[in-house]
Amino acid sequence: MRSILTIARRELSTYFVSPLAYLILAVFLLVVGLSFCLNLIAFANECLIYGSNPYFQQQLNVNEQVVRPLFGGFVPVFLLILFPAITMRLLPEEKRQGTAELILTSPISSTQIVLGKYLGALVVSLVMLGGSLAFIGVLAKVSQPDLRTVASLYLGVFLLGASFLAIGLCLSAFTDNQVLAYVMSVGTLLVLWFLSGVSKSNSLNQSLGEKATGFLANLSVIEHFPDFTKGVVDTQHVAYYLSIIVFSLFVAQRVVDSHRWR
Amino acid sequence: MIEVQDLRKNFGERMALDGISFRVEKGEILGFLGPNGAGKTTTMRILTGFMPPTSGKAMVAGFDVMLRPREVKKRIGYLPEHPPLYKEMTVQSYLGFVARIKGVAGRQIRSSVGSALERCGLLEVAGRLIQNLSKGYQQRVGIAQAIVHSPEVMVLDEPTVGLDPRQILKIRNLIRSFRGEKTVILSTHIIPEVEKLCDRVAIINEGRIAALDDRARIGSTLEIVERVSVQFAPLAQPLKGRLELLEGVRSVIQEDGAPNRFLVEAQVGSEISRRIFERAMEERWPLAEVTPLRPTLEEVFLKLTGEERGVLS
Repeated sequence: MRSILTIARRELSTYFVSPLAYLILAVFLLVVGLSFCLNLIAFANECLIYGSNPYFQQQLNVNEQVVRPLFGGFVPVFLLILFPAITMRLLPEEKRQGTAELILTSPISSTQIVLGKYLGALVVSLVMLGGSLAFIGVLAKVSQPDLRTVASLYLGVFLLGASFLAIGLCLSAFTDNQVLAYVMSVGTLLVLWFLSGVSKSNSLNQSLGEKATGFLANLSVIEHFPDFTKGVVDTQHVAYYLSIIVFSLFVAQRVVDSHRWR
Repeated sequence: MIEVQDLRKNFGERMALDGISFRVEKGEILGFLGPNGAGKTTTMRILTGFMPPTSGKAMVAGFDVMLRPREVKKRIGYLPEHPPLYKEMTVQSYLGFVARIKGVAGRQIRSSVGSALERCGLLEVAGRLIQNLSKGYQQRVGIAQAIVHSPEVMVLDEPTVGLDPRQILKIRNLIRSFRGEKTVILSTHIIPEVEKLCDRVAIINEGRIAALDDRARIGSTLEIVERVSVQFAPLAQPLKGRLELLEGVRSVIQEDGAPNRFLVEAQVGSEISRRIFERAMEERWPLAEVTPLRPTLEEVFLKLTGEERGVLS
């Protein structure tokens, strides 16, 4: 455990001495903040216009109109683009600057290396999400968002991001080229994403059978996300993301370990 | 302290190590001398647990590298050919990181880092980023990282490559200070380095150990020719021809600027010194001096790794 934390701490310090982490953080908070701001203003206007009308008043819901869009819509796409940039350097950088020779000749296991690196990246994503809590804070000042929905939303987006990071780390183990690692990660995530469309295609449903397309769609990273934004925490979805994470980290560990035995 | 038996390593079709065996006793400095691509780095990588051998056995401090890699790794300090530095870190925090992953106990990290800094002359740059240091200092950080956990064994892959002469001197003094205390294997292709630093020398070529002996003896055990320098008192007689007639003599060369000094090369085992003495007694040569010459390490090295061998094999 101590070795894992040592590796994670070093990763973190590297992220925060380079501009990359700050850049990712800034872009994320800027874009999410902007969309939050627009949604909030629109919601406030609607409240002003329709607030006095009892019929429309029932339709106005801060959770539906401000909280959900915070991480709904484009944010998963955004993570798909940003997170591989966090993971792309994790393992390739060690090989490139020769520090793999230090790490792999130290009395620590491949599992500890992989978990340490993953933990480091995970903390960066937590800082990102943590920063966005400020928006919720603002909202809580002027309105009463349902905190359970907020919690479920954050859990969902955390799990989604954690899966992206695990997949990115796993693919970065296969190469010593950061650009390649990034492109492979984005590509894989896109494929996993668009699997959700499979079950919606009639011709595919007919040729493959609905069971097969349903199975493929269930593999999609995005299929399991929307429920969280509705405030529903379904164990099925949690289990899906956890299995993605465990599987990816397992593969990453095998690949790192194989470097020792080549 | 280190024992290697019949180590072999193949990279696909290419054979990198072809049955290497050697021993290093505690406190000794062993030098690996060999041309690039001879198998020095591969041997070191196997010893440090970076890669496995295809076959053979390697023991470090009583532990098998294959079976107990963790125990071995705790006891080895390794400086790879390119020092493994996280350049965005400061020297101090980098060494702290290495100490932690090498398993140094929490409260000893400070003192371990401190003594590594002091020993490698890094105290004045402890707070600086590694990327801003000169190559010589970076190399010293590399050595500091190899000693920070007080290993019993140190493996140094070309520790002075790419440094200026003054820096080389400092690094050599540092390595020399490990003699008797730590067991050191270092590789190099610089011959004077071996002569200055090592107790024993292993010449590696094409994945084999071509020669392994004490630094002083490596020449004599591997004599390719017997060579003697002969000095006569000044005289007019042409003795060069007489020397050439001796049994086993291959060539006699008059040395430059010394009309009475000759360099005699003879076949191995011809005991040329004794023969010269005997003939000199019989024929009353005015012999002043007979000095057997040992081949230099450089000659041995070139002979063992050079083209001649390639042609023969």
